[in-house]
Amino acid sequence: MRFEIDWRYLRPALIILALAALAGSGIAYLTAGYRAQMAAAYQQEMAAHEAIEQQLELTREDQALIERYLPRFTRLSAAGMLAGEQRLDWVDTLRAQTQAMKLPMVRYQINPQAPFQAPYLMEGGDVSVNVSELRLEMGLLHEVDMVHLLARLEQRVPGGFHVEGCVLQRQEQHFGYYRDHPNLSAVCRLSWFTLKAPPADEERADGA
Amino acid sequence: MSIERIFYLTAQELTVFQCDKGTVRRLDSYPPTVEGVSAFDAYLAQHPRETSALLLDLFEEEFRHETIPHLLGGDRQSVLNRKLDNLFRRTPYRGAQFQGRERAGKRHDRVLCTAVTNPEAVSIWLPGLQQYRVPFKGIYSVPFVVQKLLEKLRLKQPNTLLLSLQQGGLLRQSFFSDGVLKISRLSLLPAFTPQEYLATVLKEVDKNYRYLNRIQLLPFNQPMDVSLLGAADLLEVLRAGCEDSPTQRYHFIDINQAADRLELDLELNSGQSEWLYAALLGRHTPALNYAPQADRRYFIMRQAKRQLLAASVLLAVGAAAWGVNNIIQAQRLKGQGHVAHLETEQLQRRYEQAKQAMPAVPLPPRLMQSAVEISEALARHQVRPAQVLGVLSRGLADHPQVVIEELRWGVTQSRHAEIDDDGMAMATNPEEAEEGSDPAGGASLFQVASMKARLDPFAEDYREAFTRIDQLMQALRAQPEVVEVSAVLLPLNVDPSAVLAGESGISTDAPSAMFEIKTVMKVAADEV
Repeated sequence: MRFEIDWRYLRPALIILALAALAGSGIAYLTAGYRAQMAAAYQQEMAAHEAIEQQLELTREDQALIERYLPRFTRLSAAGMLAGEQRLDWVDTLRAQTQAMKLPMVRYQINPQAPFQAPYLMEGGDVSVNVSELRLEMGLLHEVDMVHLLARLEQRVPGGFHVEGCVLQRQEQHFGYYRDHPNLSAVCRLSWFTLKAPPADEERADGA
Repeated sequence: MSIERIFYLTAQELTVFQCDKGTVRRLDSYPPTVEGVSAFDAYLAQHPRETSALLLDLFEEEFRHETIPHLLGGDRQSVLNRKLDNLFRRTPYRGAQFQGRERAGKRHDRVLCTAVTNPEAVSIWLPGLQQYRVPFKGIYSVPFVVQKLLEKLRLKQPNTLLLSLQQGGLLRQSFFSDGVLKISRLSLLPAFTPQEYLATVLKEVDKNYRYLNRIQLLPFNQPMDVSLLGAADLLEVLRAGCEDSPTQRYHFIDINQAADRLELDLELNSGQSEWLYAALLGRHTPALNYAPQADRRYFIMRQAKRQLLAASVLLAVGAAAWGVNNIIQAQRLKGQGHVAHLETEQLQRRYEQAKQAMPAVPLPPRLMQSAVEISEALARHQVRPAQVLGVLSRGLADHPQVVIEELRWGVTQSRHAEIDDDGMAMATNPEEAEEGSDPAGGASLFQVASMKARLDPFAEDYREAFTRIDQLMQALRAQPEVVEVSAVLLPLNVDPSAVLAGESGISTDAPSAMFEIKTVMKVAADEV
């Protein structure tokens, strides 16, 4: 007699096994789903937590930056470094100082503004530096007049001025007070720096 | 799985024994007739569930000693099957017991091949077992149960002949070498008294001795230990009549003492050895099983059924445990999520407060920082001409005769630069631009001032002029800001390799002592 499996005999056990598998799968599926749901909710809460933590940290950093830099920025702003190149101010000031100092002659040339870069300036900032090269030709009574004129221009015209170089030449053998011709001629090269920040709609201006 | 029910089968009848916790109960007997088999089937129909086995105590059982090549695994089984097929073609109830290897020669395996040579005596009882799905474990033979008995009683004489009496006057004589069954024989005794049994024993023992010697199962000149199994009263008679000799030594096994030693709760007479064998089989099944797999179908499937149920339980318990774990973990995550939510709300409030406390600023703080740092860097690199004018003034203070014709001043990274007419510093060697580089990556700055001057008055005393110029240069060098002072042009070029021309006389114009000095100042470290 061959060995034949009596499936009817095994049927109850197989049914129980199938039911157990089904029930087990159902339990596993439902509870795993519940756990996954809770895990997703937890991840969401943690993400929100992390985000607000970062925002708070950034706010604190901004606060520290404001405390540290606002006074200096205020002075900087008052000095006109961010006001853009005020060429009209420059011309008015030059004319006024020339007359006040009774300088025989002053000629000027301001070249077009261009971006400025230097190794000592930090890279990648959103604040850009522009520079205009100036050529100032002066007829002077005394070399100190040049120093005074440059100082007053620096004080009264918004922006930063660097004197790059000057050439002074004697025009008279003997210095005197001549109305129509100077004792000295001076040609100076200056760099006129201004800063430019991005427009307000690109950055929030409330410090956040 | 232990056997719960033994069907003890002899030529006369099938007796049902129930085994339970070390005791045996005799239930009923059925003759080998149509009616007997029907009654047995009816019994099985009523009680189909107990694990059962057949214990044979038949005359028609054959024992053959064979050898086969030493093989392993499936090959060995194939050879054995072929051997059994050849020896016992007409019965399905056959088996083999491995009994070691030959000591010499090819060292083949020695096997004891056994079979029930009257299969119909067995097969008439089996259909009911199949019909009622009785979990039937197998068909076992009394001689192999006796071998188990010797093992359990630790009777290990080298050559043992054990005699026992079963119901219906059946005398089982089994011979063992070193505890391994070699041959067994069943005979029928008519009703007898103890004295008659003693006489039968003595006669059978002698006959067996000579037979075993002849077939060389008992080595020549070796004694044979004869173990007689019986109740105390019969043993008393046997003890009195059996005398040891050089060839035969007698041992008397009290059946009830043996049962006690085996922890069987039995009270037996001499002719009830089958009870002992049934109880022993219920606990310890011999390896040799005559039943083909098809006859054991429902035992095998019952085991499978139990395994399926166990798997079901494991599956359910495992899934439940996993499910519980998932729920626990989910609840833990839920709790942690809730805590995180509360903390987030708190942080949100603090953030709102911090935002409100922040002053209004014209630019974002980071842009303010950039603007301030840039402007301060620019300021650090700012150099004013007042400094160089101050240095030159101090140097010229003791030299009123020096009249400056031209002063060129510029800020440069190279101390060798020259200043053009527009005040622009021109490096004479492009590589010198790196001269002032510092390890921090920035460049040092220099102020270069070229002063063209003349001595006035000048009495054509060039030597005096040279002295004055030299003194001026010393005075400039003495100032701490000055790095280098060099004469670019002197009133006379007294270099022997150059042309020297001049004029002297009272009618000539007064010559001038023109010279040019180059002064280099390093921009102070705190200015950069």
